[in-house]
Amino acid sequence: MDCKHVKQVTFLYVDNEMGEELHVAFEEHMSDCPHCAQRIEYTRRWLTLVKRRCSRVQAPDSLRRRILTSLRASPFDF
Amino acid sequence: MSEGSVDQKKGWDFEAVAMPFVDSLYNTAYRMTRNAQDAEDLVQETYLKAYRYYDKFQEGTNFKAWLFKILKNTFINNYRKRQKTPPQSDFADIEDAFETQVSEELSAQVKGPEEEFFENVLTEAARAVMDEAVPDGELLRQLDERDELLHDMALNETVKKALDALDPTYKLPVILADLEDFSYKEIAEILEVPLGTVMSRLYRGRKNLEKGMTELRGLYEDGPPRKSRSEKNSVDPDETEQESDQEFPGKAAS
Repeated sequence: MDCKHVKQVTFLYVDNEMGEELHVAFEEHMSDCPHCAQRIEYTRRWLTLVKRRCSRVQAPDSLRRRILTSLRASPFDF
Repeated sequence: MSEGSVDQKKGWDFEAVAMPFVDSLYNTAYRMTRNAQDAEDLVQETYLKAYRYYDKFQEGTNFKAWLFKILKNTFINNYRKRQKTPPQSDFADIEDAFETQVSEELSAQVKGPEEEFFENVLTEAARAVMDEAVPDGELLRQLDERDELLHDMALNETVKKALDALDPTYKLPVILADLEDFSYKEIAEILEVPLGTVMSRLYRGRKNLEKGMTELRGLYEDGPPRKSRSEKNSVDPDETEQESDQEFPGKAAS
């Protein structure tokens, strides 16, 4: 596995979506290549940052009530 | 009315299994529509459709993914209606328009809060110095505190704005993976596309998100050192190898 290939499959690795065979080759490369290892760390931290910074919005209570009311009024046949 | 009681039981059952996902659905809807009212309407419509087709849901399969699939289809249908585009069009057709709008929005909006904040800091600092009411050390501490807060707020804004600005074709997979923690397989199910398409859209979406953030802030400051300039600016080989993936799932069920 070379650096270019590592770059292409970086997301698979950080998302834990990588097959076992590829995983082994990937980690082998990383242990020999500080540049790629650094890029993985960067990607990981960047994704964490995105998740942390993009604060979640909660459904307002009025929406919950609205949904429940409309479901209960719904005349659908099952 | 025995039929009514069967309905009622199914209704309760549906409420019990479906309502716990309302926050997740709303969060995604809000990120996609960028508007609280539209997000509420979208989620409500999703629930009504899910309820309507509840008997079509296959037990043992992923209920949350099924709800998100309905949300996605509803969003696409509404989006198309709003865009008044012919049915064969898709999101990618308007990608260019989006991107232009994005860069304009990005450069226009980010300055606002930051400048306002600095202005407040400076005004207060000036007032404090003039009044000689605040000792120097205290003033500096206040400035540091404000600086930290400013940085925090600006970074939150940067991520949100860059995400909001993504083309919907790429934004949805990013939201599903990075905010809602769906697996690739689940995302494929929700988007009704092959796994490879999920990967390429996610790749593209994240790269565009990173680019948007970089444009907004110049950099993000929490991470390790950036790559060399030449590498950062070079055309990513993967970009050119993307499969022709310009279509948002066009065959969305109506």
